[in-house]
Amino acid sequence: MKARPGNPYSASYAVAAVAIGLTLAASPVLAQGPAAPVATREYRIKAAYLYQFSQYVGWPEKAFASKTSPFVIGIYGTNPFADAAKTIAKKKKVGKRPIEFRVLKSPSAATKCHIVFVPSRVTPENLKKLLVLKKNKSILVVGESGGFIDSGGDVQFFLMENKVRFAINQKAVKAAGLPVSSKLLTLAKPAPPHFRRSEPPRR
Amino acid sequence: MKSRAIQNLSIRHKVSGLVLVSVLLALVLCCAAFCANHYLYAKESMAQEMGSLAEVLGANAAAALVFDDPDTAGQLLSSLRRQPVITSAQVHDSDGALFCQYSKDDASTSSSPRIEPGVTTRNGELMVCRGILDEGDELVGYITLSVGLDVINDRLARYAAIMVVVMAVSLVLSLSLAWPLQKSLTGPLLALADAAETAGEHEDYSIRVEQSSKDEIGTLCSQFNRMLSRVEESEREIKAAHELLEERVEQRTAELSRANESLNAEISERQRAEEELEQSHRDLVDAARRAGMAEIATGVLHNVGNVLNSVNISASTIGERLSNPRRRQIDRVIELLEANRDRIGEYLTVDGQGKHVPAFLAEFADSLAADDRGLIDETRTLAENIDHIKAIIATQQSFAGSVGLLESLDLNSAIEDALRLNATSFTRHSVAVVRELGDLPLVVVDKPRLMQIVVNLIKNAKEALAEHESEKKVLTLRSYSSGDEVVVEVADNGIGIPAEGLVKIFNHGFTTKKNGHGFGLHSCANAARQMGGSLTVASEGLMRGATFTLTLPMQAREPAAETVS
Repeated sequence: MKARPGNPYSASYAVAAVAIGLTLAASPVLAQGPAAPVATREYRIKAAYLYQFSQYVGWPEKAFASKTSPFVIGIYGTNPFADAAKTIAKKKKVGKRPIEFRVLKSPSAATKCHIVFVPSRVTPENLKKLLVLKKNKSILVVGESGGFIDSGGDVQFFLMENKVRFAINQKAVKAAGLPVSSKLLTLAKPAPPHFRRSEPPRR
Repeated sequence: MKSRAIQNLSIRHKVSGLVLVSVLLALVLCCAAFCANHYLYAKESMAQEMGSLAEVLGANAAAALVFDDPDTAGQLLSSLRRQPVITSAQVHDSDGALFCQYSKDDASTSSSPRIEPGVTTRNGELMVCRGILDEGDELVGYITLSVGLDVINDRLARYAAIMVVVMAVSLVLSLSLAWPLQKSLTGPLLALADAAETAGEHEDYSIRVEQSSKDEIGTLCSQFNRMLSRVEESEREIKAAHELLEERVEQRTAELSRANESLNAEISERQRAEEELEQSHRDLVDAARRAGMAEIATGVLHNVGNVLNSVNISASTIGERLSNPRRRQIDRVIELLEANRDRIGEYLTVDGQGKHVPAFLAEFADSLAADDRGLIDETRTLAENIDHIKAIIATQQSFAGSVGLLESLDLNSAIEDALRLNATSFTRHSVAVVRELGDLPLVVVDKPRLMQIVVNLIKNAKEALAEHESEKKVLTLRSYSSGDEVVVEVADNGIGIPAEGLVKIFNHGFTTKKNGHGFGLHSCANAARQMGGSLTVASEGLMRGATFTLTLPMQAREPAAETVS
């Protein structure tokens, strides 16, 4: 993992931010994360959610190379989850398959993943490439930038009442051939209007 | 106390009680066991039911828990509204923090802490807690369902009501069914009891109990009948014996009254004899007294006569002396001198006859002096004899009224004599006489005086006892010797003498008796003094008896100097 450029905060501040909670974590400055390998609470939750999606969404057997091949979660560009991803990979499994987090350098690498997380920093061009690549494949593309669903993504994270919520683009999921548990669908919320614009709002 | 009350119940009630208690006990125990079983079973099945419901709900809430969505979980719990039995439900996350909750009354109960998984009963509620697993079989939280036990309790109350009704019905039934049986049991017993009561109250032992059955009660009846006939027989015997006894008592009473009459006659006879004896005794004493006085008078006159002899001689001697012949010669000399008055000198010196006159006168003077001396001596003798007579008369006077005839006697026999004089009145006043008479030497005393004192003291004591109303009247006579004295004590437990009375009891005129004149004890004390002894009294006070003590010298002694006035 690489430290983000232009980060003015030290690691100790980040620890403090985790301790203080969501109010601070929700601020975009902090959301960018510190250089230290400790994830903010928001990305800790998001990492956990990514794992949980694997529990409520079914992948066809053909999506896996073999019976023992891992369940791959791809992170496009930079990895904001830091140690949270490692912890999940160490402790959890999807069925009997181990979980593997991969950092994707190019959109084309997404084809070997089952879930791809697209951080908000992705450029519209790369996002477009990714979404094109995903078409007709059993890949659940999860994003966090405004209007992610509207531009064809499957799941979009957003913050509401200091909680991480998600919206599901049922049409896209169905097109990808991924059955989604009704339990997950009942938990999905429509994204509020300011999360639907193409640019994320400055809050 | 309680057991005594049960014991006193009639047999009829006891049998009824037995039936009642056994039926009630069986029913109550049955119902209690049934209710307990039902309660436990109902609780268990409810717990199971709630457990499966909790599992279903938990599975549905797992996703909401995982994605931290309490609203959705809350909506899930709201579906419990269709189960009115459930009063509240809570979902806690895996850390034990309350995630969401549901309450039937919408009264949001304060976030109750998570309880341990399993079944708990608290505050009248059954609480079932189950863990919630996510799709990866990982524990993500807990769900708790609370059910009010009111449902079960209501059902139990209904059962209890049914039980009471059943009990009442079965009691009535069992009592009415047991009635004939009880009657057959208690009927003969009650008849037996009635018969026993009649027999006891009216003393009628002729009745018999009907023997209705051949069981133990029947045996009891026949035994009772046998006992009654025995009692009847023995009562007849007793009655006969009683009549015989009465007859005998009557006979004996008649005999006794006859004997009593003759005894009374004898007693009056004896009294008369006693009176006669007393009269003759008095006469005798009078006679003796008169005889004694005559004897004394004779003695005195004899003594006086003797002295009078000497007086007579002295008087004769004086007379002889006074008729001396020389006294007539002096008259002749005086005549001669008268005749020779003129020549008296010549006559005396010259005349032959006259010359002898002076010598004669000298001789005459000598003779006269000798006569005078003799006369003086005789007169003295005469005076002495007259004094002697005076003394004899004085001695007689000093003994006047109480002649001191001293005799040697046994004091105890004197006491016995005195008691004998009062014997009848002792029995009349039921006075017990106690004698504590010691061995005494013979004493020389004036017996009548002594008797006067002792009889007086005993009479006094008897009167003191007669006035006292005590149950036990005791007169104690004591005699003993002490040094050269003998002592007689007369003690009683009669009315006693107050302290102020002790001082003047021997005074002349002092008395406590209605008819007394206060002379008896006074003269007794004087008599004791005259015999050289003393009479004293001691008493602890009114109603506490008195003791009189007579002390006499063994040898007669000169009377004490002073007498009590």
